[in-house]
Amino acid sequence: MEKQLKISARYLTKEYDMMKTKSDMLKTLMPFGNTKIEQFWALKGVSFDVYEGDSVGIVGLNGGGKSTLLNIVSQIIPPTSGELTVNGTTNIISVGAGLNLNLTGRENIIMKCEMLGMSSAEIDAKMDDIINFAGDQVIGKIDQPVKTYSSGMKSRLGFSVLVHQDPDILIIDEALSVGDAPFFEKGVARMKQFKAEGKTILFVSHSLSQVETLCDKVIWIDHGRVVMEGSAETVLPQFEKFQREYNKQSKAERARITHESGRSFDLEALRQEHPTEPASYFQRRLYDQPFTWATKLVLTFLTFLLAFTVAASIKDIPFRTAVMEPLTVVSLRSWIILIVVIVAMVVGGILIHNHKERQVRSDD
Amino acid sequence: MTEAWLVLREQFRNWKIINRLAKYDEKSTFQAHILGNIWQILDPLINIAIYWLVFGMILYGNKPMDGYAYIAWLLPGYIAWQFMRSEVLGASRSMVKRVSMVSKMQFPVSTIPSMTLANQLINYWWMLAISMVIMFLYGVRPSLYWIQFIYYFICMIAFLYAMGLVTSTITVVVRDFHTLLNSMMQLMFWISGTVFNFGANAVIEQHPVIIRIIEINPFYYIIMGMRETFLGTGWFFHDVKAVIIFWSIIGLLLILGSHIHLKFRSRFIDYI
Repeated sequence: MEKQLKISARYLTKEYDMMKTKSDMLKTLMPFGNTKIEQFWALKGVSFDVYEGDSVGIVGLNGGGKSTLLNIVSQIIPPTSGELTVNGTTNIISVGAGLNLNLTGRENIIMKCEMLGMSSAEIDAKMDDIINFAGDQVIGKIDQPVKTYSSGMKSRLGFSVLVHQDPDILIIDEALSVGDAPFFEKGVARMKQFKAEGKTILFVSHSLSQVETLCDKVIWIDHGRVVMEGSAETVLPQFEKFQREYNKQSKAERARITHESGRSFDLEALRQEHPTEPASYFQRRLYDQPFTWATKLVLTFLTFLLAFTVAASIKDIPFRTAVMEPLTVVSLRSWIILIVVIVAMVVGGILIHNHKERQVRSDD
Repeated sequence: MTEAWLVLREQFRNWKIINRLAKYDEKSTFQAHILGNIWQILDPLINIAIYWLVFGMILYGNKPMDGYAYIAWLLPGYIAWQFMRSEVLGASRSMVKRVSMVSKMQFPVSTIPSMTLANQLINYWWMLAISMVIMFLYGVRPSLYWIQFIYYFICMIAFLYAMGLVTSTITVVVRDFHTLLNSMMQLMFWISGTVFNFGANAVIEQHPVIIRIIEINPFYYIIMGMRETFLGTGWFFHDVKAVIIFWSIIGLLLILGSHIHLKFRSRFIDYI
């Protein structure tokens, strides 16, 4: 029987803004104007396929883009460009899943389950399992506010809710490091159970021995690109060798390499490397686009309409008169001044934009 | 445009989740209170009593407003104001409060401001029911004008959601914005005609420009509209200019809001 394709990623990229200050953060939200904020490419065209029942480990150095990739695959953040198809429901399990401190443990379980889209009947059915999985300490305090819990209890409760979901694709981000040794054993046992049920698992961990026991296939990601993909036996030894080499370099040198590599990427170049692929793979998503012309037009129209009506309202001119004879609202001279100012602004904007683009090009 | 559409569609798709999760806001806020949720009704009632005393009895000396007793005049506008105020302030903090919770899961983040809205709405219905009884005691009777409530209610929700989208996103990045908004709302309270009748003010009668400037403010539009609805003093379509001003403000807010919201979403892990 042909295995079903569960996750298919094509040329995923992710660009981050390097936001050093609060004002940088504010600038990134601004819909207008060019902002000169340093960009960092965390992913530079990652492609892979995951089939039903596979358990795939993702390894790589710190800052290599593993977590970004998992966040994209689990649809928490959208990619900058690229195509991602996920067949089935995903569930990401990671450390520090948020709880509401003022609610009791039980209420938190219900709330988290509701957020994950479970029905009340499903929640009732799973409640006891979830509480029992979290351990004896949590059982004793289940009807007390979570703020009275120890940090270990909180993370166990969060983890317990997440492992009792029933997704097709399980994404695990370093989550097995939660809690003490017995709890860790329980977690691993649960993962193995998922694997036995034929679920698809994506697994990120710094512990290569964990990856080795849980995964059949390994993807090695470095500096936003897939370096190697294959069975655990072939990839892991190579990665270990690379890791040892890399760790010999000084800290400053490592930081420099990461920094350089984050800057040296161009979406257009990626497109040219793969001329046969559809161009849509290399287009920026809606989220990262500036306003389109149509939107700008609507915005301008609305602003104009607002200003005109406000002017008519302040001068107390009936709406019909204002529409029939717009000159009564704003005199001809003001109209001309207004038009000149708008044209000057548009031309100025285009000039500045072109100038900046030229500068960026000469920088390269 | 596409962005605004995307965000709006997300609201309708996740309607159920919004309503189910709205109740947790309240539960956690009043968890340590003896009277619990009753405070959400009790607090505005105390305020109404104060304004009734100060403005109705002392300042206006029980003079009728638009033909009704001061309390009947105050209520429809005041409860709308109270709802809008707590929603604007609540929504601006909603994202900050919940973002760490949803940062590690798949969740339609744009529904977070709607949850505060759904939560505050429960109180609004209660307040509306209570004030209808009081208004009835003071001689307000149902009329055809009450149909307008649907229109002004839609106005109110559209305005509050668009505002929430803008303010909640900005507050995540700049926390000071919430404090600024708090002060702004203090000002809005006085210039939105919540407790004053601008129509019966000597200074404003001499300078009608002041009232026309105040009229631009969407809060005023809704508060006055609610009053016209319940007291039966006017139809919304008689003032076309006000309709255009109000809805073009909403359009601008919604387009800008959904743009910055989606920008924020594509990198929100960086902001927290």
